[in-house]
Amino acid sequence: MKNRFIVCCLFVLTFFYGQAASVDSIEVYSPKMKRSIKTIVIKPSNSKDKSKQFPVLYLLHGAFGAYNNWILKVPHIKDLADQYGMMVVCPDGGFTSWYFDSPIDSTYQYETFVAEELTQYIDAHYSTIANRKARAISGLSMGGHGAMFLSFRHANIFGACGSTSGALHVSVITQGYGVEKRLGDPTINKQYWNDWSVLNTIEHYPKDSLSILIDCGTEDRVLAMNRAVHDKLNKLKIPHDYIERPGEHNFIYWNKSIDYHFVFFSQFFNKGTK
Amino acid sequence: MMRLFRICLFLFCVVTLSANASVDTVQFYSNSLHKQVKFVVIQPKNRNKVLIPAVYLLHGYGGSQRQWPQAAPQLQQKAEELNMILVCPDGANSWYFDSPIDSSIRYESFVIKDLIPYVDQHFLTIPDKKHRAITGLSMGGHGGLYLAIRNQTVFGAAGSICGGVDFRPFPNNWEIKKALGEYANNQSVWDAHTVMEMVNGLKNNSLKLIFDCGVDDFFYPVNKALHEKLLKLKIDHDYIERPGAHNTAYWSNSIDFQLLLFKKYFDANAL
Repeated sequence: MKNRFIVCCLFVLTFFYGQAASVDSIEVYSPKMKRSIKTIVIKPSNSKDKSKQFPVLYLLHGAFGAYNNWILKVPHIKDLADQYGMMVVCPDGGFTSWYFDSPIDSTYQYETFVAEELTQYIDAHYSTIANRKARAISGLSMGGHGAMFLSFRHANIFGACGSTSGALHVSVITQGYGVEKRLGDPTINKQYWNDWSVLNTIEHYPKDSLSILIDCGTEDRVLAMNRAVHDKLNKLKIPHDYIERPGEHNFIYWNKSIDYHFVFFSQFFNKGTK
Repeated sequence: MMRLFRICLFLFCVVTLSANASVDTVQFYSNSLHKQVKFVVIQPKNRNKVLIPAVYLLHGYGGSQRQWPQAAPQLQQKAEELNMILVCPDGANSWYFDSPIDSSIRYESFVIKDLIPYVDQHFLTIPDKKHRAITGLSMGGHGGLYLAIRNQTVFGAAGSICGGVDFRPFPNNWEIKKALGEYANNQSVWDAHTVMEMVNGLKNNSLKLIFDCGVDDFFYPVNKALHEKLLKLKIDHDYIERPGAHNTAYWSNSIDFQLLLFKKYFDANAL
């Protein structure tokens, strides 16, 4: 009897304290690029309950990174997925795709992939709440640029976006980060360099409003780009949260900053699903 | 077997239903104020009865110990989730000063000499600065930074939400002159009591700092100015500006982010 009681207790305790998010490593086929893209999907622990549907946060990595950056270098995003009851999806961004549909390279079509193909795949294969009020996108550095670029251009898909240490002004990043490989010669393809830099993309504020969170470390070399975007958003009267705090352009900073993104998106999801 | 099942069910219910922290109002005698004063204390379940960190939440002008629990009902859940005790004292309309001209206004002494020792004695708080933070809204935002800067052996982290971090542009508002005298004749007193000037003597990293303000708030310009001043002084701090005005919706949203920062600060100092 006593043993059974202990087993019983253990069962109850396991139920509450033994919970942990599970991680799928998948490949998602992109019809537009005609190849499969590696992606991490983190499911909160209560996702085994088939009747439950979850909001989804897409997290984009930075330049020279890969799909497993977030889960390897910021492993506690698993706990955050659990704590806030949201699914987290980290697609591969092709090293230096900048999440553009490249006008000069048909094998780099990451805007279509992330905003359309991937979101459709995730909604079809996982238990998600499939609407913009339950879909957010964020990222670090190049991924911060990607998240803002994609949400402003696909506000029917994403209701909220975030950028941590975002390289938000690609037209000043002329060398070493692969932008020229995606957008071509800056003189010939000037239009793309201008229009597809988040600093200018934000001029076209979608009629579906977005919840926006931008942060940057005060010792980060991309701080000036973030301030420029912040000032311009203010001028354009586009509501957004803006944070400056101590920190550099590294995973020490992103390990901290991402926690605040989860609070922000959790508040956003709660509003939408109430 | 049925009995076992019932016990199981009972355990299950206990664990699920009691997921929120308790909220109590406590009244005690303050020697500094010579009167009974109330505070609200929000305590997580803390089943193992271990000592945990505390955050003091100060209300704004016209508020009381009830303002925070009413403005942010999620505090109960937050206390549980972050495993910290939240203390919301009644600060009247004092600006949390010990007034140089009115001996009945001794609210710095009240917080530092009466309230904190009382809380540490009667509740399961870790009684040191590395596990004690203070923040507040509006007048309480000023209070959080003001008290922490002046009492760095008491607090390790401090915040301000829509704080009156420089109240000199508002010399006739909110009874400030009742505590400090008319601004025109007492400029040096006002300077000595405003956060904007007090940071001049602050050493970097002596306090973990966070403050924020809504861009439609009348205190927005002074908060932005404080951020710029601290950058110049090279004093590390988290600064947030976001949509919103001087109201409950803003405070309720903001406190979630500040508590997260305090939680991270406490965790970094874990025993």
